[in-house]
Amino acid sequence: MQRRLRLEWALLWRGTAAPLGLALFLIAGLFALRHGNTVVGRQEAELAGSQGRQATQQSHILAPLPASAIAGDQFYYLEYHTERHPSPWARLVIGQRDVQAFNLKIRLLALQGQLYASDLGHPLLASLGQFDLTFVIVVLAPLLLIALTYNLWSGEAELGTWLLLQAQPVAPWRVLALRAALRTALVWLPIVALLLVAVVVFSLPLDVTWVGIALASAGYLMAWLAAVWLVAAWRRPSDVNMLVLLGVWVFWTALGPALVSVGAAGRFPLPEALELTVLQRQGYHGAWDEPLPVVMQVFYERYPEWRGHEVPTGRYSNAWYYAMQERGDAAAREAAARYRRSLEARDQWVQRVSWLLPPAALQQWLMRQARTDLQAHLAYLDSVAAYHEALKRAAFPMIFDDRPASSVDWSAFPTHRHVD
Amino acid sequence: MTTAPPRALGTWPAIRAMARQELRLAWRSRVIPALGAVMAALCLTAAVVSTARHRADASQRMRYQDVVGQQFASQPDRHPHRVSHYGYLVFRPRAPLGFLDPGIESFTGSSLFLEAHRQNLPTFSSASQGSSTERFGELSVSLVLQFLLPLFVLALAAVSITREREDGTLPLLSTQGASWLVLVWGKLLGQLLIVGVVLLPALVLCAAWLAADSATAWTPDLRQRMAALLATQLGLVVACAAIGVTVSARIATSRQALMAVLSLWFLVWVVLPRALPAAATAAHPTPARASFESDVEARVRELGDSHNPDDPSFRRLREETLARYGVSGVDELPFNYGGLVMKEGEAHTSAAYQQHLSTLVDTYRRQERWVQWAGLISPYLATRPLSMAIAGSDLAHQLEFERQAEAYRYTLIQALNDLHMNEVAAAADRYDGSFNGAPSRQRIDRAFFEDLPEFSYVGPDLRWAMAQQQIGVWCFVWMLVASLGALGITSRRRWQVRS
Repeated sequence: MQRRLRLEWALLWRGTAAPLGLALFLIAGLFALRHGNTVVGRQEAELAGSQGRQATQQSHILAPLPASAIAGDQFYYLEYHTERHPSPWARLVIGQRDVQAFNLKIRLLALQGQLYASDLGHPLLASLGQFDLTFVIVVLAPLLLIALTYNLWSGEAELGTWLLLQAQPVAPWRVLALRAALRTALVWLPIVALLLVAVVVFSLPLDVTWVGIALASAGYLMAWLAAVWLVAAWRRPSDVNMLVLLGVWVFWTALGPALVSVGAAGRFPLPEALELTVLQRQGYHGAWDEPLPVVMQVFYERYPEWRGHEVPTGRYSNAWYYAMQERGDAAAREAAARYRRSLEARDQWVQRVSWLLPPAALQQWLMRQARTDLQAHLAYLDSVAAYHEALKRAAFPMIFDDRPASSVDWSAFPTHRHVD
Repeated sequence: MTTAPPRALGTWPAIRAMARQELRLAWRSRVIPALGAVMAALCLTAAVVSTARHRADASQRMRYQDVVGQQFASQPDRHPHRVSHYGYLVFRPRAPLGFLDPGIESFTGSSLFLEAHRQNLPTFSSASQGSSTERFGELSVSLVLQFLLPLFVLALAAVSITREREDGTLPLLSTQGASWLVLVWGKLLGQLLIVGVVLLPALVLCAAWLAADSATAWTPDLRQRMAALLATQLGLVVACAAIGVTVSARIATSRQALMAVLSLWFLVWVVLPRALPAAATAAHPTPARASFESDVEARVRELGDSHNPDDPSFRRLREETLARYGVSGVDELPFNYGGLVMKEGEAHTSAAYQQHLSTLVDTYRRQERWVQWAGLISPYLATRPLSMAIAGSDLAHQLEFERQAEAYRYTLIQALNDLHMNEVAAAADRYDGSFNGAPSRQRIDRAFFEDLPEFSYVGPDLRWAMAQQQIGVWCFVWMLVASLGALGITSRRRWQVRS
């Protein structure tokens, strides 16, 4: 066994393909780690300055206030920063983090108008995709595997060594299996090495998730090996094998996922996105033309504890103003819930269909582990909504009682921090 | 030693004969029917799915744009500043040929809220709503023809001459008097014929589908864009076939030639398009949104803070205005001074935003240049930017939409601020209980709002699109010159007599 392994190794390492392919693969992997670190590191740096920017903005608004200023008037301007901190694995799986908001600023105004903006970024670069470790594992590793194994069997036949091999005391399929195992390991070990580099450089935990990612990569390569084996069993010339495997690669990694994404967009068109925007705006602005009791009634349905509190009628009051904001959210709440359900239904559909395509399945699974997928983003939006609610509840006493701004401890307001 | 070929046939007829022979061989090997079926199926699926989605998106956005327009026109009497905050929602129309090449459309927001005091960013990009599978793009005709087809073309062309060499027919050709010139150009033409035949069913089906799709209005500009898109596609195919034939002429065996073009394809179609953006963003970082906005705010404060009563800029405005009208207090002005403050504040916020936006757009351009100049070595990256520009789905078109939306926003808000100045009495600019039992400021007649301008996006034409994409055009030309040039140099070889 050991001798055979040594021979197989010699056979593999003698050519230029294996060392060259492996070297390029490792370079690509290191480049990917560096890129993941750049993207996520920048987001972390931005988040680190978030509280500082919030404090600066607050001081610019609150510092020059005259003694007569009331607290309720300030909430229109005050922006509260929310922070979506990446999971440790985001550097390896950027996923959707580059196109989703991670540092939304919210005001006490209607929430639905404040949730759906993306962050800045060149859309062309985003559309071309991220060169992260996921790309290296999902897209490039199968190529290396194909390059090393496409002539697993056909190569022997073409060299005329197959008959010799059959004459050996070992079963020929054992020889081929050993060869396949060795070559798959040669693709998997660099992945493990890259994952270990990531552990050291990014101080990632060497935990269940790490082991899971390493094992999932192995399973993924096994799926490809199964495809290689099936094609080899078909006993065609090496060139045909290569082209067929290439076809499989194109379909699994590029065409299939592209089909899935148009399928998802076609099945779940999300008209609610535009609808809720229109409804929220109309609900809020329409409230300015509605009688005060109607507006307050909508507010009391959600916040009954304020029902007994007197709201002035003859003059502007912040209680009325924020009740109108609630009126906007109330008008859009049903559409927003439908939008949310459609997003989740679309996501579930994609998850299900992805199991037909190993690359898409692995990609989805990795994004889940790194919490850079849609569900993680929705969890962040939920935390933003909860934070908005907490801010409102903290601010309502000041708003309803028309407290002076100088009497408020502005630093005592809740802060937001969400970790993926 | 070289032999002068007897001129049995003229060069051009010989090239044609060679090409016909190539086509016949391919047909006989069942390559054409198989590939043709695959391409037709893929293109038709892509066309059907994309047009359906394009139409659904377009009609949805048009419907909501109408709703917003009607809501805006049927407002009740309102204070003009209320209308400024009511604002306007605009929906980006889909790119004219977005159903053939969706470009960056999924990665930009689809709706943009225009209001006083601030420039919002477009919201609801499809990408942020999606469950991203892989980012090779959504299935579209351009994905099939620009990503996949070149792979086939390269692979077929790469074995065109090596196969003759391996079959031992190459010496035969030389004895028949075919020169390298005839061989190489004949093979190129043959490959193009094969692609033509392979694509014929796909093109016919797509054309029939588009012709049947009455929702598309074929304006002259759209026709030009369509023609340009086809020309671009043809250029890409020619370049790929020329590269493939050149490789085939210069490499000994089919296996090696195939390996060479496949490696090229992976490098240039798969790896480079991802590696370059990574390098570009590392070299030219995009600011994050929160930092960008806080920079804009800082600039606004420098220009003058309308909420700060001691702000020097607004104090100066007050003094100058009082002096101009020769009055001692703002109450004595012949117009509502509050409206003027709004107007001045809007000018400040808009100027600050424009300054920072132009810096941001500069960063985008620098990043994009990395991808554009890579077109010098990558036919794919020479074609992509051009194709998106022609389809109207590139960043330039998106920015043009945002520019027009911002110009409209500014006009609208300043028109409303004029109404605020001239139609709302300063004394009635405060809230009282005059409307519906709810506090209210003075409302002006809704007829004023009906006279306000409406937003209509004027899509730029093809000439504009090309002017924005000059690097892309040059790289595309270079791609053609370089690939055909390489083939031309190859064609000047002479037969080597081997022992």
